[in-house]
Amino acid sequence: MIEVKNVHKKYGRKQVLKDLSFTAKKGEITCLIGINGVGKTTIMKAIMALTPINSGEILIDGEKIRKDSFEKITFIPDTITMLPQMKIGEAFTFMADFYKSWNPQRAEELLQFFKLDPTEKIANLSKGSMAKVNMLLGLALDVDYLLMDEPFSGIDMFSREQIAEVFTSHLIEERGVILTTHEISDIEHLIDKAVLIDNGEVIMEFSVEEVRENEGKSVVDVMREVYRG
Amino acid sequence: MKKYWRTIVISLVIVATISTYYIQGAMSSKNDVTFKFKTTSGNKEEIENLILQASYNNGDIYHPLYISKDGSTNPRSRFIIEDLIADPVPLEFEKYIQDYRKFMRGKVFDPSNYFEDEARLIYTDFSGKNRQVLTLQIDILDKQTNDSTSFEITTPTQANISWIQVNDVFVKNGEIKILVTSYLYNDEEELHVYTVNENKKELEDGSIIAKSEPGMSSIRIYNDSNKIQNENYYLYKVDKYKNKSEDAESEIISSQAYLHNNLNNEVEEIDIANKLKSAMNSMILHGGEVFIPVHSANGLELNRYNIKKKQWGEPLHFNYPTKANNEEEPFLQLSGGKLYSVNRVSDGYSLFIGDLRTGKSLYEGKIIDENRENLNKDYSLTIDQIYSIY
Amino acid sequence: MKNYLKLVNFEISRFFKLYLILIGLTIVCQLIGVIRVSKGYMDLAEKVMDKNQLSVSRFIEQYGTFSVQRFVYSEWFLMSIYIGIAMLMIYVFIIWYRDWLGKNSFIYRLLMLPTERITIYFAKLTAIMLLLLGLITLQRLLVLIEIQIVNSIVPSDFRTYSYGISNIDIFVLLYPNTFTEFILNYGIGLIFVAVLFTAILFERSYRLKGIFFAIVYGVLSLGVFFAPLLLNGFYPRYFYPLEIILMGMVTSFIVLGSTIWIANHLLKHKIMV
Repeated sequence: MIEVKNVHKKYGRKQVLKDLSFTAKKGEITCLIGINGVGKTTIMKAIMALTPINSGEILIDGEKIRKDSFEKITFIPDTITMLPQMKIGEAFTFMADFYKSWNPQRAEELLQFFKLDPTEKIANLSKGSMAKVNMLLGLALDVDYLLMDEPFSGIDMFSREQIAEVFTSHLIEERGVILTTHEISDIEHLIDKAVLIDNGEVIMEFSVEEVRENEGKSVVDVMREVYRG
Repeated sequence: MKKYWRTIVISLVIVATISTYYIQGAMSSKNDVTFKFKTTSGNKEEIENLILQASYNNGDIYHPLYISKDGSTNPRSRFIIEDLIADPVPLEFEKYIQDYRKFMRGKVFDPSNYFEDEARLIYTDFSGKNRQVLTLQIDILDKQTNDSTSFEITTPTQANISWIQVNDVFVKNGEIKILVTSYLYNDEEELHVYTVNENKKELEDGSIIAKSEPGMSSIRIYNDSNKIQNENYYLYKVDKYKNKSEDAESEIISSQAYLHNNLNNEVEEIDIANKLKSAMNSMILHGGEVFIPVHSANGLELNRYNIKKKQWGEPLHFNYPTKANNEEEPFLQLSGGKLYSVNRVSDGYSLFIGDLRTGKSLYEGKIIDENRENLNKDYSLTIDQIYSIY
Repeated sequence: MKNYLKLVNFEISRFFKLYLILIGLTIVCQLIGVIRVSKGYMDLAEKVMDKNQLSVSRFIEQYGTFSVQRFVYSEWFLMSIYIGIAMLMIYVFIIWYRDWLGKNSFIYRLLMLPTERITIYFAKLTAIMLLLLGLITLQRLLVLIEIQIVNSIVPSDFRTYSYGISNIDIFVLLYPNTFTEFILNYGIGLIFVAVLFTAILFERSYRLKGIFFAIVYGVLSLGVFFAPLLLNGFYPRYFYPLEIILMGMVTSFIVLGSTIWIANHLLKHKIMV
């Protein structure tokens, strides 16, 4: 379980995160929802120690993040995390070299699924393909937790469908996923938990299925209530 | 392993090149020219404890070195960083620093500022050398107990001093006499003898014994600046010039040599025969005598004036071959009752050691260079100083 | 440890193509230069001796002999040295900034590697030192070749032997006489680069405020490092040279230790992607 506890973060004058707390369980897909700039990406970066926090605690399976944690948790940001001059195959070699949790068979599987050419240079790929490679680099790791920042942004429809397919497959099962997105409608049926964020705080944290069963509301309905009402 | 080839290649090349460079002893020292003595005649023991502080010029490059019976060494072999931090310590001070480390801190390493006898080592220098109020600092070390005392004396204000230099320290009967040259802003020089009463820690006297005016006169001191023990006399010469315009070379009207007796503060003049006047610039004060050397192709004629007797004696003649070359002045040093001379000869340099009492030759030899292929044909060897080490 | 080596190799591989170009440029520049300077001198000699009917020794009296110095102070040589130095200095910064800027966000990957983040710092530091030492080594080998070329163009009567280049000022620093001095000099160079790296990390952790921190930190480090020399300036000759050197070693360790500690702290807790 990933626990974010009472995190405060100031960037310049702006209080980006205010006493923010939520949890994400392993085996569940948690979605951080909020408008642009509300701090979703910042939270994910903070979990990965890619940006500092002023106070609060972030625990991954009860521990603060260490170097070994990166074999258990990975982050797929909205930019490519490899050298653009590298070929896809070279990127794989790099990952295999450094990560014990790199799964070459899974990588091969995903390569074929996404119909990518390992001899292609990353810089020459289309935006959609680049996003797929980025995702691949995360998914081919046998990690417990995956953080994905806007996995669908700026992607063409067909690529989006492919990526969405991944979510329902064995590739995601049993892992804990935190993702952020605008396109709630696209993935509403996939997520287990929703965390609504506004102004750096958690407004509401709820189980999507429960709310649907008990109150008959969709996530979008809840959002409408919260943000408008 | 294969994908590490770039790093491996770079690392190997670096390690190989650098280790060969240093194992070979770094090009410069391996190919250095070295010098050594070769005895022609006389007593080999004379060179047993000698060190020649010298340098040679090879093309544009200047190489300092020490030459002894074991060969030559390069004083720069130590860390270059040391040279960046401070001037290299002169050879004679290394022993003082070793023995009296604490006392020697912060002091100028110039023998002129020191006096030493069996019991004590005394140092004196001016602080605030170009300010108007000059303070004379005196440090006294008891060599037996290793205790030191120091005191300061304020000298009377002298308005125009731009620099002041201690030339010699003479200590006797509770008096410290300091021979000082003051350089004034208008280019005048004054030669002072300051007398300090050690016990009262007061300045007793600060008289000027000679003065020079730019263009009109000049003073030159002929004491051995490397002698730390007491020298009973100060030998100095005053030249008077015909007041010419700035560009032309001044014509000397008169040159007079003076002796200041440090025991009774009397100054006497030395009469020098006309034929020796041109050699006055080479005067040497040693062992109670004033020597005027005259070099010739056969060797040296050493004219001697006995100070106590106030008369010129028979000159000593030392015969050794020289290539009387106007460009290079032969090196001559009188110390410990002996005469040391280094001259250029047809095939290098020769070293001659003579006895000042008997006028006889004690040692004759050559200074031979090795690794000659790296030397220009017309290199020149300059000797700065000869030390005896024990 | 293994991750360190992997990262070092990675950094070297990234720069390798440019490095080869730099090496090629240096070689070409210097070889052309040495040939031109030597030939130029001989052409001059021929012309002057011919025109004025001078003998070799008279010519040398007027125009001087040819020593490797002539070449070393020529534009060709100096330019190749300056280019090398400039490239290295620029790369000290680029080696960090290229992972952040532009389309490149490789820094995410580096910071997410299952290794102590300070390993990244050490790897980049090592890479810079290897590149520097590589250039030094290249120069050393080139000089040997250049001396041969000079010897083949300029006859020995015109030449002054000058021990290669080890007597020339800047080279005394780069090729000191003893191995101990070598370690000392390049150790100081390493500390200098390390401090620069930490300054860069300050900027990357605090952005604008970070530049200010970086400058303050840099000045402080310089101050501590040079404290013995400053002391020597205020109280000349009070401390003996060996003592100053020892003090310098202590301050070096302090500066190096603190720079690594600060870099580690910044990388673990303060860095921003």
